[in-house]
Amino acid sequence: MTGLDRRAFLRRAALASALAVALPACGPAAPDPLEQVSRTRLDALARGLVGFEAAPFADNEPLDGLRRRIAARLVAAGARGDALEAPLAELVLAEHAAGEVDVVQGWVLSKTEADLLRLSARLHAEAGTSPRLAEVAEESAPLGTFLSVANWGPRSTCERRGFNVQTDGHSSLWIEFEGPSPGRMVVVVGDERVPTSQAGQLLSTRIEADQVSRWFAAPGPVPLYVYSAQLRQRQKIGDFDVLAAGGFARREDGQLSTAFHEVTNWGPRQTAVGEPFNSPDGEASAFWVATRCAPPGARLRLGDRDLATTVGPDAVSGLLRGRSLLQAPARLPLVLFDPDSGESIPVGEFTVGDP
Amino acid sequence: MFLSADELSARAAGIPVAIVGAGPAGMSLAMRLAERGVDSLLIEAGGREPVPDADAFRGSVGERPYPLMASRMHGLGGSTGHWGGWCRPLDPVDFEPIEGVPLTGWPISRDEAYTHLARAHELLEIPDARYEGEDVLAAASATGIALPGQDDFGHAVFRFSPPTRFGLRYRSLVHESTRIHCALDCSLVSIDQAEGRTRLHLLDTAGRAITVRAGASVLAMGGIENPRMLLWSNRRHGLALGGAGDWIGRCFVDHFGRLSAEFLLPGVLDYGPRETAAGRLMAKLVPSAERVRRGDSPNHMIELVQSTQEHLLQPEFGQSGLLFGGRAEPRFRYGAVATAGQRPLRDSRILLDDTLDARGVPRARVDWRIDAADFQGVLDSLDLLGRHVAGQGLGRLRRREFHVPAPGEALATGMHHIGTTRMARDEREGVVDRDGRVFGTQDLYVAGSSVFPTSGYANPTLTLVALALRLAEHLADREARA
Repeated sequence: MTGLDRRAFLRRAALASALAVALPACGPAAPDPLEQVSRTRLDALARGLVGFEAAPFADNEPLDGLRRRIAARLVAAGARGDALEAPLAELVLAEHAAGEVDVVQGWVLSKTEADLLRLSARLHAEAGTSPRLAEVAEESAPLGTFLSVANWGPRSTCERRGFNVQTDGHSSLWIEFEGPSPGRMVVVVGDERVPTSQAGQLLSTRIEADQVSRWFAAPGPVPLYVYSAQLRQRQKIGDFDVLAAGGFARREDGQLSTAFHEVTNWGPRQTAVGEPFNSPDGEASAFWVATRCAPPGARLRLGDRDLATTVGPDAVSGLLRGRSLLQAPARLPLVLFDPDSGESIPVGEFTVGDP
Repeated sequence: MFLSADELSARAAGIPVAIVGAGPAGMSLAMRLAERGVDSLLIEAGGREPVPDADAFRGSVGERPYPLMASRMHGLGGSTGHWGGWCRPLDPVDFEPIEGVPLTGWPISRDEAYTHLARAHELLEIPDARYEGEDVLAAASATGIALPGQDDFGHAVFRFSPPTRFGLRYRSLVHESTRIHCALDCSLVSIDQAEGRTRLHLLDTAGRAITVRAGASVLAMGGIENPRMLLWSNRRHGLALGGAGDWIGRCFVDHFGRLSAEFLLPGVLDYGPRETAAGRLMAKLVPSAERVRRGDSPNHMIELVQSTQEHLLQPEFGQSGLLFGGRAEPRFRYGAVATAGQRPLRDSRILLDDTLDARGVPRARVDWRIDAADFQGVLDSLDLLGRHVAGQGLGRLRRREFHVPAPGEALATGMHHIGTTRMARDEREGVVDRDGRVFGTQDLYVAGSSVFPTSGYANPTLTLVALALRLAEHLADREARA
């Protein structure tokens, strides 16, 4: 041990030792320590202690005897009147440094600290209150930064629509992190916790269909948090976007669709004969259709050909394989089709050759 | 090259060095000898893949339970087939005799033991071999508990092998080597001496007996098998291998671990493996060398691991800044796992069991004993850590399993089998001399952690590889002289 810290440590240890010697001198002839410090202030300090279970500290010792014992140590440490905090803080450190401790359920507490907790427990018992304990719930815990998030998803969905839907119908968010795990973690969506499982550095959640309907009913961002049970803190991961679907599209028969929302744009709308377009490999051709919240099983159909279709929250894309439909000039209808409802809506007419 | 049974018979005589056991010690030894131009016969009881030997590794234990089958493997690469890769050299104090603590001190200095430490790191594929230095210690302690102004505790750095599986990593090297002659599926069943020279009696899986006479023979079979074979050979052939000191199998040491205490501490602490500016490393809290030198406790390390146990004191207790020198902030729960290298105890030992394995060799009996003072020393150390933590206003200690375990109580072990053929100045104190040569012989050596007189807290693989390389130099020089 070197420098000031060592001196401070030794000074504290010496202080505690001196107090241990000084205490027996507090006999009948000595001034009552309870007359030298504010009993009200002492009680207030004791009541202000938080985060401990009171029951193990409760006993039948007369309150004034307990107060007097604490006061005697405080007076020896220089406390007078209301000025108790600084001497008390120093005294607790000194007692720890000197090994002047009580052990309660294995916890090593300084003698004064343990007595103060006893006093607190007694005062709370008399008042019918309890020391504040773990009041912080997952969804309202203070914000902090304890997790290095590498990635997370999905990041959006449509109103009331499930996402990353698993075989039993529940939706799942996942969060991948790096570095150490701060113990057990729970994902909090908005202000509600979600059953969370952890495998290695991946958190995954289980969000039931009825929760999707309630939590993601309106367009807008929904904050996503991870709560650490160890740290009792939340960390914001990001905002999960709930997308407004827009108005429903009209079917070919003029009625409003119940499956598809309005198509706001699409393309390409033409190509030269024999020429693939938006081609990933020189052979296939790709269409895009801007429409929100299409049914997950939706298909794009060009003429009589079903395209390999991918449904996203903002758009549907379709891949036309081969060039057979592009070999001669033609005007081909592009249609969105939902196998589940049987509904289809026209997207537009695609032109091969001159427009 | 790998040998067939017939080729082994042809190689059985006249080979400069025979090595029994193709674990990290045996393979390191063979590879270094090959680099020095010395041929060796590498004899392995298992095959190309390391597996537990359900027959030979069975045995019995004394009052304290011991996982006899859990860690040992037969096959090319030996127990590197399932090791974790933690590496750190022993501390300087681990080599020193501790006043008042019997059987401490090595007959060689730390510098001598680690003459080939750099090469050992290469074999174990550890790119950054720095354990000291300001940047390394700063990186190590960055996520550890900060205890300024005291010198009772510090941080020690571990590095990581991938971990290197010697069988996989060096199989092709052995295959292509013209100096390493490797015989698999061939077991040593006894050792005897004729005209002052060692003979190794082997048995292959077809039941054929083969006798090997080499210029020098090395047992590198592990910390339980090495003494087992020496004890059996002495009994079987009426020999006095290891001299008259009756040290074979004695002073069996393993690292024992206990989750003895818990702490409330501020911040997120991380004592696990991390990528840092100073490379991949891991920090542990360790006592000062001075404390170990005083005999306060065996050398040990303390790891703080996050805990969500509910207790009398909760994180919010830390908001009572009055009790923490004015530092009001939540304190989080950590379990304190202390792992210690027990101090040598003569009665902690490997013996021969009454039952025989399939090859007719008595099985091992492990009577693992630990001095109560070693447990108490670790508990005292945790208490001291608690005093520093609380005395500086950082947190609080909870004594959890704060008692000396009964002799029959199971412990977490490192499964590091150490000390059973201890290195000593003479046969009154151990089994092998400073070169690893078995007392009472001219040409029989031992390699591996069984020669360590003391263990420290560090995992033994790095040290045993370094010592095997040192032995290789000795044997190559000996061969050159011959």
